[in-house]
Amino acid sequence: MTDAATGPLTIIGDPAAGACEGDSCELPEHREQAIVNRRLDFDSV
Amino acid sequence: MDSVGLDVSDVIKVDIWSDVQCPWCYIGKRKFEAAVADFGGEVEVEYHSFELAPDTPLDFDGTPKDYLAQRKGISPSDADRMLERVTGIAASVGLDYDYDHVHQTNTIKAHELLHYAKSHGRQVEMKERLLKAYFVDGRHVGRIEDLADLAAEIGLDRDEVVRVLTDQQYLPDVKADVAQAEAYGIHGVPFFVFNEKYGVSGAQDPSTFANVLEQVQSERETVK
Repeated sequence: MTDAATGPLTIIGDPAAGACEGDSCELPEHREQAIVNRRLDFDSV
Repeated sequence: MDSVGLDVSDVIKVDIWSDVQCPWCYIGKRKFEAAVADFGGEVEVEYHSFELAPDTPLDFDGTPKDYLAQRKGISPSDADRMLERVTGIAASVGLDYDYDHVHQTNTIKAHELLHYAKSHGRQVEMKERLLKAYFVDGRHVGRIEDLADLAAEIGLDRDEVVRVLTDQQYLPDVKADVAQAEAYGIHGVPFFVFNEKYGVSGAQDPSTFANVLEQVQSERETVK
C-alpha cells in the first residue's frame, strides 16, 4: 500500500456483519446492546 | 497467499486493518481465508494496525467479563451471553475461543511486533500466532517477554524482538497505519481494502469476500 492511499473506497458487504468499534464489538443479533454500549461511552466522556 | 513468480499486475492486494484482541477479526480472518482458498487467483495480504482500546492497561486485573462490566456497565449475565455468543460463532469457523483464560491487555507492542515480522516476511504467520495466543491459548500478548516468546515460536530472533520492542523501533509504522485508517474513514475492524478500491467492513460471509475478489479480477481482465 502506498503511504498516500486515501482515495474514497467503494464499500461492499452486509453492514450488519460483526465488527469491533472502540472497545465495543457489535454482534449481528444484538445491535441494540451495541447502541447501549456506545451511549455509555458517550456519557462517560 | 504467496505472490512469488507472478507479474505484479496478476496479484490482488488486500490490506487488512485489525486488532489482536478483536474477536471478529479472527473470525473474519477465517472467513476471508475460506474465500481466498476457493479463489483461483493470487492474493497478497498485508495486515495493518488498529488499536481498539489504546487506553487498556498492560495488565488488566480481571477477566473479559470484568472488563465489560467495568468499562461498559454490562451485567455479568449479559456479558456471559455476549461472550458465549461470539464463542459459538467462532466455533462455527473452527476457532476454539477460551474467554475463561483470555488476558485483556494493551496491544500496541503486538502491533509493533507485527511490523517487525513484516520486515522479515513473516507477518501473516505472526498475525495468526498472536490471534491464536490471545483467543485460544490464553497467552499474554501485551508484555515484551511474552511477545518475544511467541515470535520465537515462528522462527523469529527472540533477542532482536526484545530489543526492537523495547526501543519502539516500529512504533512509527503503527502510527502510520492508524493514520491511514483515519484517512480512509475506517472506524471499526476488521476492515479489508482490495486494491485500494473496495472496502469491506466486518466479518462478512466468505461469499462476500469471494465476490469482491472476482470483481477485482474481472476488472483486471477487462483492462488487459
